[in-house]
Amino acid sequence: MPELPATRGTPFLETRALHKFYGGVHALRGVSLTINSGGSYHLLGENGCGKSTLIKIISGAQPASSGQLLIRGQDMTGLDPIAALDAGIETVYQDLSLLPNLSVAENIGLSQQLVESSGRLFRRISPAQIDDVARRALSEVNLPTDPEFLARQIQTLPIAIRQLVAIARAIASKAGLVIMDEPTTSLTKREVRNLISVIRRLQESGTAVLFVTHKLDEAREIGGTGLVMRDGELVQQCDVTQASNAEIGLWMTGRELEQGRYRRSPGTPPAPLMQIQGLGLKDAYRDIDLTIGAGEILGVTGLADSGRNDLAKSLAGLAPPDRGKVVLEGRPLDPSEPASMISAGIAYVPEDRLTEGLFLEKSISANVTMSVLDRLRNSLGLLNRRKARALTQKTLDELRIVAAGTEAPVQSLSGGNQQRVLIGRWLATSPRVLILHGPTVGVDVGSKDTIFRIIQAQAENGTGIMLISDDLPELLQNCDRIAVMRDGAVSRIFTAEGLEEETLYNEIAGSGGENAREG
Amino acid sequence: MKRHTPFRIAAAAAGIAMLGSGVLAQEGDKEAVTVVKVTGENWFTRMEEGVKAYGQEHDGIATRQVGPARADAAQQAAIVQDLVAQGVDALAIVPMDPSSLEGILRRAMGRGITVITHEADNLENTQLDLEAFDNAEFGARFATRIAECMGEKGKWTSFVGSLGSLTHVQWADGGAKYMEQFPEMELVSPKNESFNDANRAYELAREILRTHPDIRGFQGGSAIDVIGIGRAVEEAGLEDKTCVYGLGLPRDTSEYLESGAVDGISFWDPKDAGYVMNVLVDMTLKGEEVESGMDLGVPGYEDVTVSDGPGEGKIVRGQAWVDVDASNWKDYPF
Amino acid sequence: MPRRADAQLMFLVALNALVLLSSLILVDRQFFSLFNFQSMGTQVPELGLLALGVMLAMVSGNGGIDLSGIALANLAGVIAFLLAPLIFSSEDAPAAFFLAFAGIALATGMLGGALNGALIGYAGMTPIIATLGTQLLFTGLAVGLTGGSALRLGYVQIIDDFGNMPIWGIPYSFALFLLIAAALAVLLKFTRFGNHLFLMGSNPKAARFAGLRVQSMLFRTYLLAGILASIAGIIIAARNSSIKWDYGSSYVLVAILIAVMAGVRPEGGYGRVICVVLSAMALQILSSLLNFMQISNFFRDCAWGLMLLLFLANARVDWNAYIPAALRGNARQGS
Repeated sequence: MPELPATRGTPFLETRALHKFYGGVHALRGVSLTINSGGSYHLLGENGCGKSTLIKIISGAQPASSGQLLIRGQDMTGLDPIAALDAGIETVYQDLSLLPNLSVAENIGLSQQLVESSGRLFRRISPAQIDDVARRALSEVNLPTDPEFLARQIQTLPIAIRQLVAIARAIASKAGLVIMDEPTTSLTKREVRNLISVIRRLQESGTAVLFVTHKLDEAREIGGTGLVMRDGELVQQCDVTQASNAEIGLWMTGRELEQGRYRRSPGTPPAPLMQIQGLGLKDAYRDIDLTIGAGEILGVTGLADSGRNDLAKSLAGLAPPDRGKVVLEGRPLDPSEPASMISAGIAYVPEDRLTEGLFLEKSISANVTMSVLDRLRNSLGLLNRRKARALTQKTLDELRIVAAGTEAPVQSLSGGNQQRVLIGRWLATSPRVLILHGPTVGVDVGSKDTIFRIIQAQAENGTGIMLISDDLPELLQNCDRIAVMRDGAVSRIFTAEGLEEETLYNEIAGSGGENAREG
Repeated sequence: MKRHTPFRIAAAAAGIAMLGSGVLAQEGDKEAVTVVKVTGENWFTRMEEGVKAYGQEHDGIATRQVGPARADAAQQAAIVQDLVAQGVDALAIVPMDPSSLEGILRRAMGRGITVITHEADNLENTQLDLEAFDNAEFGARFATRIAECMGEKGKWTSFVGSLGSLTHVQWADGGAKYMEQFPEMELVSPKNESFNDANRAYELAREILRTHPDIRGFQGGSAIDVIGIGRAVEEAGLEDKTCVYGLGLPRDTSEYLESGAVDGISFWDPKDAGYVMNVLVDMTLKGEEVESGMDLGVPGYEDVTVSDGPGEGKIVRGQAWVDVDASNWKDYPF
Repeated sequence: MPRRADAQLMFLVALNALVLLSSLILVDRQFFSLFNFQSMGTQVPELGLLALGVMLAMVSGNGGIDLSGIALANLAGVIAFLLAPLIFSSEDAPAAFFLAFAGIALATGMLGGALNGALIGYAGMTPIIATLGTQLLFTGLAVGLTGGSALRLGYVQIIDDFGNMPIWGIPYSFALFLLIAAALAVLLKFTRFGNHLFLMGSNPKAARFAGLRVQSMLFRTYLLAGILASIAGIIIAARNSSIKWDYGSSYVLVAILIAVMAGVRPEGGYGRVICVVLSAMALQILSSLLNFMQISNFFRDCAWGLMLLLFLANARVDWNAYIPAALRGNARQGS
């Protein structure tokens, strides 16, 4: 078992000039930092900046190519995961690394067992001991400690609870350093606040915490040191409560990012483009009346069960409504299948780009051109691959996608680039209406900026845009109007300019403000 | 024509392969390959003894036997095609599906390859087809014993390897024709197909016993039919009440012969058939004619009948049946 | 992906070359004769066409497979045999008879393929179950119509020539096979249907979201496979001058073996026609080589199993890992 954490303020972990090469790629360039016991640190940076690599080296999953790693003053360079656990480093990865068919108690006791039996799980410590450890950890994160809960299989729990269990495991073993990668993605506001108080307690007992996160507001609430990385280098350390979003954005991307509104509201009111009239779908939504003007950006938001996801699906042709109609430029549309909505000019960029949007193993070119192959034929009626590549290259250039060529597989791209490929496919169809569902989820700050600019440019071309999102700042920055849905109906439509986030938030949450996702 | 050399045999043996049977040949030997329906079956393993024996006892000719691992006409055809491409001197074939080989055999003869067949008296493209006996007569002999055993009245049925196995069908039809003279003999469910699978024969026999509880006579076609039938009869306890006769091999059927589940089997020794096929091969290679009455040097083929075949070739028939029951099966080592 | 695809192609070309070259050492020069190449060439098309059908089914995803290929091929031959003489006589008008024969066989293939397509595309049945069912149906019909016996076409020169004889050194049937393969390759690479087929196989959900008509595409895929099977049936009939309901019962698994060894992904979304052609050729050359070497047929199954395992191992191994770091130029991993 690890020793008790050292006194607050003394160095727990130190890296000196860490370098890492993957083949010919220089992933970490001389990173030197110190993590003090009881301190909190936030690792900030775009996708591909080296954050994950650094974490992997600290937690022992990968060895550094050169440089040193010291823990409590001892040289532990090249440690393996078991040694890292032994030294008191616990990690909560984004995928949670819980074993779904084992119980809550077994999962929480897991790292301890691994360390005690040097990585072999056969010699187990007694179930009573495991339960004990589990109970203490669970009470820290305010989860139930009754035997029934302890015995629950992980795969039966909702994702938010799983995230808390994963965190409980990390803190069960009195670690010296707890690393958390995007720990709040599935948590409600109340749960996030709960987590923050757990983290405070950890810090008080001398445990250091290191976060990898995109959410600057949360980072500020927790406080501590911001470690900003770019292109494998640690470019800036700052007090995260003092630095502004603009400064952090600049350090992360090397570019000035827009902080205020992206949207320049047009002077004249837009001509009506698409009208949704009295649309209803049983057990999903009812009496939806919305208009989108040409060149207008309409935001749609609401809680997860507000019906907005089903509305999006209906407009895409994936869930035909049973009442009402959708009219585009005066013509009624047939929402019974995606193909007819697409050919009418409605493009839907789905929520989950990995399973619903992209063909990951296929090339960027295949993904981008798939909906417009008819336009890329030669005189024989066969596909002209040169034209296809040209269109793809144009898309890569216009959307500023970083890739190893048009034929590279889409899965080789970062999240932000993948999202732009998907958007690019739909833009190539020159849609009349573009519906974007959560377009910047899991996308780094730099890509977000680019995507916002793309959306604005489309609007300026006269395309009508519906932006469905949970990210309130995103909505406020980009939309003309924002429609809030609640319990299957539109509860209010705001004008975005000048709207306060608090007002918007209250409308969404209605009575149960604490239960809203932070987004 | 190139021959095997010791080097090549060593090279082939150096691989992990199981060599097809072969005789170490000298330069100048004629190469005669016997192609059977399927390897691994007892019947054709016995045939191989005769094939090999001929090559060992005679100079100037190297004999060997090959066959597909599965009873699939396409696989046998592929083997024949490759042998033709290899340019062997003679082929002795027991065809799985005679009509599908017509083309390749025509081309083989066109290339100067001697073609002899066995159990294929409807094949046009062969020089000589060897039949151990007249098939209708063979079938009738089973029927004779079944009728005698049943007192010339009651229900009986017949089995075949498959409806495509020409000889089995001829035996079944020969038996049926014989039975026509007895008005009280009733044929039910004729020519049940076992696909050369003893288990399937067993299942079919059980079904028949269920559907016709008063059935007494069984005529088997493929060598494993009596085994399957015998097992079903034993299970039902009807050894003494049934009359089961059919093609079979002594060793395989001995258990049922002893218990009385199978009353008698007949066969022709595939070893002799394999030997005599190669006799005919050798004679044809040397340009000698086969005529009625000739003695080919093997019991059962000492006074053969030669008749015209459907094509330009001839059919050579012997009287090579052997009858076996509980009293004498031990005389035969296979 | 391009790099991976080339590796597969290289493997198959190398395999073909290896088997051919070893024949020079292991058997006499007869193997390298024109006659033998032609002989092998006539044996490839029927299996090759069935393997292409399996490839199409697999590429379309959805657990795609076609088990009914050879059964449909035989049925097509049976129906053509029974109906063609009603229109033309094979003795008086052999060419017309052959055309009628081929036409009826193709029509049968289309109907059979359409049945598969309807069951899988529109009724939503799992392909393995659907084609298992249609396999039994086609076989049953063929047995019923023929009573189990073989149907003899007799010697019709034009038909026999098509099945066995060469034109300019290449067997007619093999040339036809190559033409069909080329046309299929063009279809898959250069038409909208082909491009969408690969995408659908790769991610059916995203395909639906993107507006692809999934049901219709599945239907067309199996229809095409049925047509290929019927062409195989015509070639079988021409080669053997006879048609039997149970011909080639071992072909079902061999066709799948050829497709998998060609790198076609059983999960869907990937497969190359050229690789299937090379894979079929490699299997044929190896099969004939083993026959020339007088190696028991049992070993042939063993050899094919070995080849399949070698191929699967080749796909799993990242050869790059064994190349010294200095020579590597990998894309960036992780961040």
